[in-house]
Amino acid sequence: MFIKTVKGSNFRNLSAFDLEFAPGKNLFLGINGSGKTNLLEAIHYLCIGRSMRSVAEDEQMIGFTREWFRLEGQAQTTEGDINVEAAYNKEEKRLKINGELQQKLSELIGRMPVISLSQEDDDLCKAGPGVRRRFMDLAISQFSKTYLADLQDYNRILKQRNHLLYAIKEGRSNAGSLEAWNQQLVECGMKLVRKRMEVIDDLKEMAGSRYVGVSGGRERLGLRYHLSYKYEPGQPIEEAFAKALATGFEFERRRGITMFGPHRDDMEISLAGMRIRQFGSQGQQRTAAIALKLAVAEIMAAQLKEKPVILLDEIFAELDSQRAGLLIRQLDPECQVFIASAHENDITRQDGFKKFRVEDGRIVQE
Amino acid sequence: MHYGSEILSRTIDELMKLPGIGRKTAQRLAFYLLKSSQEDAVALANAIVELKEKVRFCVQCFNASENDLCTICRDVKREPALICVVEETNDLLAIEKTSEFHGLYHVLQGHLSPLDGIGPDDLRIRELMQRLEKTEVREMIIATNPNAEGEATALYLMKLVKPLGIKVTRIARGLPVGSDLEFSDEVTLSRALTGRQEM
Ligand SMILES: [Zn+2]
Repeated sequence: MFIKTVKGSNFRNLSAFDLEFAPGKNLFLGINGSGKTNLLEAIHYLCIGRSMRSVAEDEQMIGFTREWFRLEGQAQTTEGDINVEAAYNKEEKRLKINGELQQKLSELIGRMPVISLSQEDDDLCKAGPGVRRRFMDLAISQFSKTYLADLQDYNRILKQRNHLLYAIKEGRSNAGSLEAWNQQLVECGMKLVRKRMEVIDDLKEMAGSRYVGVSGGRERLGLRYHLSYKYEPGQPIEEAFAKALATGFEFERRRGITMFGPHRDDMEISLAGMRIRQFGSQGQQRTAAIALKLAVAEIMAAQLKEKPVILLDEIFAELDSQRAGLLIRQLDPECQVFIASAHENDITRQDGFKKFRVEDGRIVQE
Repeated sequence: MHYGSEILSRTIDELMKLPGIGRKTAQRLAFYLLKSSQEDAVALANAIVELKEKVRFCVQCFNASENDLCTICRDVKREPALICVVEETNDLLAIEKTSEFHGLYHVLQGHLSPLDGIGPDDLRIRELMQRLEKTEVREMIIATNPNAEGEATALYLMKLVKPLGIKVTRIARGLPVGSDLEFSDEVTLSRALTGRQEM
């Protein structure tokens, strides 16, 4: 799919804009703080109803001294043209698809697949497991509605179970009904675990070859799903999960929260057999993160029969021009690409880029 | 808040105590009542008073009733050995509309929800267990909602009832995801009822 136009009002520091994009490569040029990343964010928001920044509340996206923001975009997909309107006014978020008001924001997910690469991705290899779980959940949700529904169910069960554990800890409740929640946590949690493992299997192959493609090196990128409880090889996972809940009850009761399950699991990333989190260099970590994101884009395209839009935010800044060139060559030429950058470089100087200059929130097509 | 009338603001305050009614809706309702005819307003007020005076819960199944036993429990044509457990009276009404079920009910008056501080003791579970001990029951169908809370309630009941040697079935999951029984259309609901599975 590709995004044809995007209109916006009161979105962050951006002046009202109405832009027409190229189906291929688009470049947003501007210094830091000019608003070029905000423009990427507007596109991301229209695609899945939220920012690509991990810490961004809707309220922060409203322009200074304004009361609301509004975005509208048109895209061409394999299922025909789609028009998306998103608005937020500090009280409610409204989403319209082809003029029809949607009750659930999740209706948008999967129709306009998007993948974003930014310096924030460095966290994927460096930070705690939460970042990697979010990566898996966001990626899989975009091509599997079942996964998204299971994830929502799981979070609900988890919230209820945590409240019960806390009530037990405080002596306000007994443990009589805990088993009913355990059973559901295991049943629903296993759906998430199975899907994540399945996706990681695919991802391993693709990310591995992407890593070689971008780094030009030969190190082998490895991925492994890591459970948050003890597991003997060959043992059914649901059995290990249920056992962890049963034997870990005292531990959970003391803390008053659920300590085992997919909300505590991790995805281990390794390079040549070594954990990248501890042993990888800055460059290796960044390249691995890029390889993972590109692999997700590939899986999405295959699962949805729809090419995702790719957003690259300042990704060249810390890559040498050779790696940057390799990265661009790794992108699916059929994917629409939006690049935000402070400078032109050897790659962007080539033909085929539609260029926009962003200055102090004003966007001008070159 | 000042509405120019003490009685008006009291009416709004009372309406706001109802579930799902915020200040704005309460105001709209109050002004609507103020403009409505004398008969309509009195009819509503009387209905509420009579509801509280004459309607209570059936001592056996906790359905709404004007007598000790509700009309369903008193109906001799219904099969007392078959009990369908529902969360609320609304769910009972939805199942009754299908005309597929000829047994009796047990209304739990809620579901397990630690978030709202609701545990087994806050539901009519003790009464259900006493009922199962007193009467000969062949099958108990659990028709709680197909969401996390309904499912937890079902699993809890199953664990409790299974050891009594009673056949326990759960209404089949033919319902659209995330929907509540009350809102599902009759066709899906009756299909779900006939296709129930043993737990
Ligand atoms: Zn009754």
